[in-house]
This record gives sequence, structure tokens and C-alpha cells, in this order.
Amino acid sequence: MSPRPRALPRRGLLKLAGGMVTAGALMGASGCGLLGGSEDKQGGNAQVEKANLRIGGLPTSELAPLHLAVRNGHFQREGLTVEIINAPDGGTALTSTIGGDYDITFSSYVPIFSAQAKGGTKLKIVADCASSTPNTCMIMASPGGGVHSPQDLAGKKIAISGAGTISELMVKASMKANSVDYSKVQWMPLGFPNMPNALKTDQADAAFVVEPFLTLSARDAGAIPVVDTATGPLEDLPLGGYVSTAKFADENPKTVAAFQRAMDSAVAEAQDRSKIEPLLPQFAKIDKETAAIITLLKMNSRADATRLQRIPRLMLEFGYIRNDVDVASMIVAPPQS
Amino acid sequence: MTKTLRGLVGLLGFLIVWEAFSRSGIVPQQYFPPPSTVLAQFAELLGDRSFLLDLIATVLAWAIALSVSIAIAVPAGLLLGSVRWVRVATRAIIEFLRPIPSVALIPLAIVLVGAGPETKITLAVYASVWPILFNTIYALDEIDPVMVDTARSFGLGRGRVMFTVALPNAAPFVLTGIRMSAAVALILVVSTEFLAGGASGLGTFVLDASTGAGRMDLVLAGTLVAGIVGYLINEALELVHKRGFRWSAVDREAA
Repeated sequence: MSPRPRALPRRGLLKLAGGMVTAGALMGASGCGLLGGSEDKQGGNAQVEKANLRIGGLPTSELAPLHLAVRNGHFQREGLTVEIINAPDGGTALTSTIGGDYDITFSSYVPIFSAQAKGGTKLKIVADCASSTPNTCMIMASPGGGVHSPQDLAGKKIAISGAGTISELMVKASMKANSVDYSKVQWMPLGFPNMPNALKTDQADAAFVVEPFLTLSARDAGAIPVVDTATGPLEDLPLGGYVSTAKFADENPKTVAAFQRAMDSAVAEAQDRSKIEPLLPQFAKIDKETAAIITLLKMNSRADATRLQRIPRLMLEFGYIRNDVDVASMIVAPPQS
Repeated sequence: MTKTLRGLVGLLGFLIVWEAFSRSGIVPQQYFPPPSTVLAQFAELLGDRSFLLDLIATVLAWAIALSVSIAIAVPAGLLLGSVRWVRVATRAIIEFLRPIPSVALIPLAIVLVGAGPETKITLAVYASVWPILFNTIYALDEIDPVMVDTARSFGLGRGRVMFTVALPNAAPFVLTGIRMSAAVALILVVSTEFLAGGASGLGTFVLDASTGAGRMDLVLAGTLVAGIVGYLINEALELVHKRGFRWSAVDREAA
């Protein structure tokens, strides 16, 4: 049995309620920006149709120029306010862009061209991002797994970031270039952060690893480099770029041109390594020591149809898509300057 | 005082076991860093502006979600608890909706309300409505009918009985529901940030730290902050319960 309530301490409750209402009002007034939502979604200005852009990204080092552009005012000079939203993976970022939540997103090229070849929402390539350089995209072997040369990879267990990704394509292409049969390889989907440990504990015989995990797998797991995929036929392969839906690009030509100009100048500034090294611990959470030694990809801003066409050609060759994709028609021509 | 002391001894013991385990080499230290490393990162993070903005984003989303849940669940609970036929009519649909895990609704929420902070707030509201709703309904069941009859015999109408007898009587139960919901809402906000990404938030910070460079020290430091926020929220609500409802016999351990 519960005892009968005596007088309820109303004053205390009233105070509490008052406090909550005040807090609620304060939150309403200042909350939107602090919550991390854009405050004015539709506004434009004299320079652009849409001033506030939501850009999808990933916490990876090749996005350094984008962060540099936000931090050093490259976007601001073009009349843009950019909010970078990190997605859990590239596929999700692309889906959110097609769904209209992001205006422009970074994505690796394989999902972009797969989506285009399937003929759903038409996409436009707004800017290029980065291409492979030696020592950035390697097949590493576990220290005790008995893989020493590309030939040893046949029939082994190879960790890749996922089926149908650019890492799978690059492993297959470089095995083929080395005349190694990849049909009996056991593909093991695994996130990049887990690869150094998978190599160390022999869960995988080899793994396709990118920076900073390349440096970490050599340092912490004693992994052995087997193939540098960025040499030979895959040298300077375009890896990822910035895309929007065709609808967005058509409706906001000035905005897209402003984005392109800002990225041009940010990428030019990013060629100086000392400009982006301090950014890596902030947005990609790479510790300072590792940030100082990792190999960076080649940063680009202008999309070139001839170079980019290599990706759909490879995808066609390895059966990722059935019809070729005309890259030239997807590129939004950069502004003349 | 001794209670606090005992708590501290327990905490210290836990930290020592953790430190010893992490340094023993059973697991690689960079995957399970010792508390000395994590606490150093934790201290550094508290001075980091972008991390504080992440923290504010999460706490704000939590506060909004909990306020909205209370605003929905208390009136709905009063309605369902006092009008018999509404409760019978909605029983099937409520029992169907309640067990759906909120995180499974992330893709749907992104499509419906967008990928901004709306998503995490919506999902947190969805999950945290239930404990308040059910506690309110059950509280109304528990009211001594003699009290209601007494109030009626003094000529009070249905509405006045609701506000002067039923609601004050139900308040301790409702607050217990709110405490449960506060924890649920925090879990949902952080896990939605982690699973769906976003511009800022504790979960997004942990996501970036784990996928960007596999920084387990930062992941654990971020987790520690989430744990502390949850602890402080619970302590604050418990204090409200103690101060506001000293007369109530509702078991505070129910949550």
C-alpha cells in the first residue's frame, strides 16, 4: 500500500517546469546551428543560386583539400557556406546524395559509374578528387602467411574493403596484370581499420590496404608489401571524385562553378604538404606522428574524361557493369578562368 | 561520505584491472589502450573546440528528443490510462510498434525526415516514448479508487480529478519512466550518429576516429564522455525525484 500523498511541493515543481521551458526556449533560439544542421537551406545570394551546401564526405586523407577549402575561406570567397557531413561509407553518401540530403558528395568512382550504368538517377561529376601514387594502394601480406610475390596470391584469402568496391577492382586488375589467376581467391570483406590486425593474426593471407592503415600495418603488424597496385597499368588511376545529381547541377550552374573554382584553388594550396598535415588529425583523426609519414594521394580538382574513362573500361572488363559509361557526358565542364 | 569513498575505491580498482590487462599484452595495446592513455586523450578532448561542439550537438539532440517524448507520452498515457475503450482499441498497434528496434528504422527515417539532426531526434523520440507512456498508464491504474470517489463526491469534474488527483499521484511513476527514457534517448542519439554519420555529434566523432585511422584511444575517450553524460543525467533526475517526491514510495530502483 502506498501512503497517501501529503501536499505536493508545488513551488519546486513549478520552478522545475519553468527551468525546462526556459532551457527549451534557449535551445530553440540557438540550437539549430549547434545541433549541426544548416540554418538556411534554400538561400542564395548574388553570386550563387544556393549559398549553403551540404557536402557528403568520409574521414579519409584525400578529402584534405575539401576541409582546407572550408577552413581557409576558399568557399567563402565564392559566396558558399559549406557543411561537411561524414557518412559511414561511400555507398551511403551516394544514396544520400541521390535522395537529396547532400548537394554534392565525395565517392569513389566505382559506385558512381555502377549507379550511372544501372540507369537510375543521372549523376554529374563536379570535380575530381585524387588518384593513386606509388606507396598508397598496396597489397600487403601477413608476416607468416607465405605470400611473397604476386604469384603466391592465387587461391589465397585476400581482405578487401567490400565486394564491388574500387579495392576489389584494383586487386583483380593488378593480379591480372601479373598473370595471376584470381578466380579461386577467397575474398574477405573487412573494414580498412581492421586490416593491420587481420594481417598480424593471420586471419587474412593478404589485404588491399590504403593509407594511413598501410603505414600502420607495416609498423604494428609487420606486414610485407607484395604488389604496389599504383604501378604499371593502374598508375595514376583516378580513385574518387565529387558528384551531384544531374538535376542539382542543371538547376545550380553558378553554385557548381563556384564549388569548382574553390576546389581548384584549395587543391593548388594542398600541393604544399605542410598545409594539410595539420588538418589530418582533426578531420581524419590520424595521430600527428602518423600524419607526418603517410604517403598522400595525388590531389586533383579538374575531372578529365580521358583519364576517368579508364575506370568504366576496367569495370566493363571485370564484369562490374554491362554497358559502357560515357564519362565525358557526365562531367560538368569547369569554368573558364 | 563513506559511500562516495567506496565508489571511488571501486572505480580505482576497475581502472587498475583495465590498466594491467591492457599492458599485459594479451591484446595489442593499440587496439585496447590502457586508461592512462585514454584519460590523457579525454583531458585533451575537453579542450578541443570541435569536440565540444560534438558534445553540445549530442546533448542538445538528447534534450530535444526527451522533451518531445514527454510532451507526447504523458498526455497520451493519461488518455490511454483513463479512457478504457481507447486503450483497448490501440493495444494491438502499440504492442506491434513498441518492440521495433529504433536503429532498424534509420534508413526509413533518413528518407522521411532527412539526414540532419532530425533523424537522430526522431528515432530517439520513437524509442523513448514507450517507457513514459507505459509508466503513465500503469500509474493511473494504481490510483486508489477511494481517492477518486472522494474527489468526485466533492463535485469535481473529470478534468479536475485528472489534474488534482490523478496527475500528482502518477507523477513519481512518470518520472521513473522519464529516467528510463533519458537513458534510452541518449543511447539512440549516439548510436544513430554512429550508424548514419552526420556533421557533428559524439557518435560521429567515434565513427570518424574508428574508420578514419582506427584510433581506439579516441574511440574509448569518446565513449567515456558518453558514459559520463549518461551518468550525470541519471544523477540529476534522481535528485529531482528525491527532492520533488519525498513522500512517494515508488521504488527508485525500478529504473
